[in-house]
Amino acid sequence: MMMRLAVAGLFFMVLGSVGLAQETAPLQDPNDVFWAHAPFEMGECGICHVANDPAAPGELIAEVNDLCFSCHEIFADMLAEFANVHSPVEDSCTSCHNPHNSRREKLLNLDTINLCNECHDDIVSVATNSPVRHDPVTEGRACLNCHDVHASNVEAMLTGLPFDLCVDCHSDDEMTDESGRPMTNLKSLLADSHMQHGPVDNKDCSACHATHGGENFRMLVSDYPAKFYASYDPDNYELCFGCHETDVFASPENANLTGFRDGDRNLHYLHVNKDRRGRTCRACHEVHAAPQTHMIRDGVPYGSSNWVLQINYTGTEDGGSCAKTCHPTKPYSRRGS
Amino acid sequence: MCQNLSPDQALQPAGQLTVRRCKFLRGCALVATILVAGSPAANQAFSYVAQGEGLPEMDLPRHSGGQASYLGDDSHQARVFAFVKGEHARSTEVLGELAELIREFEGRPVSWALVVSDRHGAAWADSVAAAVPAATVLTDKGDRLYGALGVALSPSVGLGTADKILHAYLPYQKIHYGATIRAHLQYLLGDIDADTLAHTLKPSRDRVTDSAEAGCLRSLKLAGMLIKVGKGDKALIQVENVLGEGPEMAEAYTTLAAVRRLEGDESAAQSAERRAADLAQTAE
Repeated sequence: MMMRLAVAGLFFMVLGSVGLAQETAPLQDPNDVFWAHAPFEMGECGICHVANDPAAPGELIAEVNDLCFSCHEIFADMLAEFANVHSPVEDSCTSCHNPHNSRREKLLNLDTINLCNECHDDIVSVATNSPVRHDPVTEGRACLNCHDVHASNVEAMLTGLPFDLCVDCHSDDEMTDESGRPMTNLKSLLADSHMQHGPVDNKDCSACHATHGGENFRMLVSDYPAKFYASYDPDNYELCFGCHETDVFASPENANLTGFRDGDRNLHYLHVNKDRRGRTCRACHEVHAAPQTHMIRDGVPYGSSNWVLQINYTGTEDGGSCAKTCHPTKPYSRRGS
Repeated sequence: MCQNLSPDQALQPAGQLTVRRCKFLRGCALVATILVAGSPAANQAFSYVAQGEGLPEMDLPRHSGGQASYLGDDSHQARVFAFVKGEHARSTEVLGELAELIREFEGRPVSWALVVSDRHGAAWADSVAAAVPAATVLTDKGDRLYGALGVALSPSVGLGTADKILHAYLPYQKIHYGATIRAHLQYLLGDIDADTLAHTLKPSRDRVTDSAEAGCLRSLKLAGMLIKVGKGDKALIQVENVLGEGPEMAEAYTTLAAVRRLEGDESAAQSAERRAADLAQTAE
């Protein structure tokens, strides 16, 4: 009994360590087979096995990947050129491909999303169960829309930097979200704006957006106030405070952490840190790109009619001013006005 | 050469901050500006120190005791200094990236400083020191260095040259951050050139692709294996498939010649070889 338990335990340990549905044996039911590997289809078992007998081909004549690369040499060459190689590729091509035949193109053991799910079930779960979903993750080529399953020069096996991938789709004026609201055409926005938010400039959409799907509006990775006014609570600004300093908004005077100050009088604090009707980031700043420094907006949609309230910001060497906006023209100077 | 900033200077309001630089450093700054101007991140900078400008000298209290410069010492060819904030997921992530890079560049002339504001408390400095023991952990009391450079974002990383010029300012990135810091370091150490740096920072969109030509060559390889085991008929099918795809492919005629020779048709083999030679010559 103990022996049987030990053997069963070993079996499940090995199964668990593989982590992939490795199907290396030929599919027997002809109804299952739509694609076949040429040497197998020709009955030339001896190209890979020690014997040319389909009934008893015996062991492989070399390591799996060495065998594959002896014909699929372009992969060996290309894998050497990329900075990151997907670990199952390094382990064995048969992690994902059946070397004999398959129901699926490229001799894959499963369709793309289910194959990826064998190891990346956490991500597939987010993609399929999140309240806010990102269609390209599960539709069309699914994971392959953004990832190269073999090798990549960008981490996470991305085929390019996030922005370069996102803009493939988000460059359309007609694109709307699930509730019909228009979405930003990033290509034209950036063409019209010479200032870009750091993550956009770094082509790093993932810094703010959970690209597989998420809990928050627009798949933002954490909270960001949805409206022009909000009571100040640092938790509401978790997204921004991921990089920006919380302490900028914590005290009425600050000489080192913000340039938006009149002398030491902290104007970020003045605008934002209020129990009622504190201005949120969106009141003055764009999030992707803007025509002015500090990502300051030209104007902000205000009220239910979305009237655009101009900000009329002008920068100076040590400060600036906002004119005829929420308030009459008010200059500020870090030297003190 | 450069002067240490006094605490008073460091605490001057922005715009009045005077970073003293000698003419030599101004020259270096110009060269460095030219070097980095073409880099994709050229418009990113600390608020008060731009890429290509001299970095202010400043000694800060070291977590392990005494004082140290965030720029290391004269032996360093590259100077990495990072600003990380207390108990924050992104800062923790960056500490992990930096720990890995420190291991990777061990023995190279690189200084590594982790700057923590005293706003975040001593416990945070302790955990930073524990997370990256090989780095110099410095406490920025009263945000002197934050104020001198104009650090608006943390985590963020600065890279200085041997001459203490700001080479790169790198605010947090979720994707490609470690690769970006690594590439800049390799550039500063002379391991890679500017082209390789630019390619690494903004890699082109490459995929591992299996082209039609590669597919044809693979079929010919299979044909070659079949010829070796005497299966000329099966090899011929492969060759004919390839010729159907690309009738001008010299390699296909070379393989066809081998098939014909296996069949004992020397005349056809020679004819195929001549065709292969003609096509190869045309291609040249």
